[in-house]
Amino acid sequence: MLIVVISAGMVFCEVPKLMHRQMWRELWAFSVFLAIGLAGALALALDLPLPNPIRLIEFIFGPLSKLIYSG
Amino acid sequence: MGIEKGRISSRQATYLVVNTILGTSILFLPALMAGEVGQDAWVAILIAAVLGFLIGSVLVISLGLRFPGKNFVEYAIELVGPLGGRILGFLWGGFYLVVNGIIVREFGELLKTEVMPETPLIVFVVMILSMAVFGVYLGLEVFARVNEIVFPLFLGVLLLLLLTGLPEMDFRNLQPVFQHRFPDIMVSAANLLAFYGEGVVLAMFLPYMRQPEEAKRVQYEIPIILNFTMLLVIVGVIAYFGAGEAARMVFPTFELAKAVRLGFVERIESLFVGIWVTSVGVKVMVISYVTVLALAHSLSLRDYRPLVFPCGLILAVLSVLQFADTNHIREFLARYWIPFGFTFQWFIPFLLYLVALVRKKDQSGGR
Repeated sequence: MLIVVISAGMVFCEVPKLMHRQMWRELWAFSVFLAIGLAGALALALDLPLPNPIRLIEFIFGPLSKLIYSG
Repeated sequence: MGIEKGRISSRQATYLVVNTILGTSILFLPALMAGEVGQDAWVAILIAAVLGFLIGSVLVISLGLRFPGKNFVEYAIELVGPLGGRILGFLWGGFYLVVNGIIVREFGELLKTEVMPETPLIVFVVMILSMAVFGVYLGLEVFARVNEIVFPLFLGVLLLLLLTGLPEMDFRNLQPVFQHRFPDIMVSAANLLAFYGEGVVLAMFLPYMRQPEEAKRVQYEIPIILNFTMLLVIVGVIAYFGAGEAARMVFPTFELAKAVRLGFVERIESLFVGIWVTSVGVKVMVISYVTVLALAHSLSLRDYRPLVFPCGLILAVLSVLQFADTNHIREFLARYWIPFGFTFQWFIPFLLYLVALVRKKDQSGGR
């Protein structure tokens, strides 16, 4: 709940300023990033499964890591 | 024109970079290195110091000076074209987002395991992130100035810690020398170098220095302060606890703060943690700043500020999500950090430098 309240507060601070200065690109970026963050935070709060970037990194760099530590 | 209007002095730039590198590595590295090469850690530091200086001064300083007034993403766009440069910038921003998640998590884990075990992790995460978001929102100049006060304090407390621990240090713990195989020492040096790679953030605010010519001095000052401190701390920790003992600890530097006596004053770790918290706060600000600036440039925004809060929220999620516990962090740092860090921090600038050499791009006008 708290997350939603803080985010709403942030939207009220940020959006009118951006609209006023006609920074549509910025508004777009703000919305997309906020949506990602909000979705993640809510999923985390509700214990929904989320993809973990560390797993991806471990998968990509695993072979390299083995190469380094085998020497 | 650039997004950032603030200007910093060369001393502020030096402090920012050293603080960024030292902030977390001072706590995690002694245990990691003691585990890898034991009492030969100082050899690894010397190797990493020389390599780090050479690579850093070429890849960051001389590449940056070729494009005065442009930061990393701006000259990446110049060098590999608008699309490639933006993809690079975006990857870079993403990399620092993940790294920052790790840093925030490390910060939370230390406070949780050592100082306030009953407080939930998320409390520390939210607190440091609100501080960082506020700082980044105010801009580079503001947190550079904060750091100018915080960083000397941080160094001072570290030195005080080592000095008070000196009577109980046993330098025979550093013998025998070269007990470990050379490849192992090299791997450990590479690990350290991957941590030093965080200094590449300098590429993002080099153009905002008031006197860009002074960058040549910065490239000597940073490695000197950095390696000197690192050497003192790691040698101090190993001399105090012995390599085997230090490797079993999670945060040996913190244990040192717990163990030393200052006259009749004992348990000065709260002092140490207090200063360290501010130092890591600045570190998180620097990395968040680099993240949002890189993202803003690659999306060609006119201001990075709209991104600050959403990225803070993503960071909070990442830092809680990424790791199961402290051991997972250690394992990740020990096994995957070298390839992961090297790719983004050294390999990408290296590629850009090659492109700059081949295409003979040099806008410095022979300065």
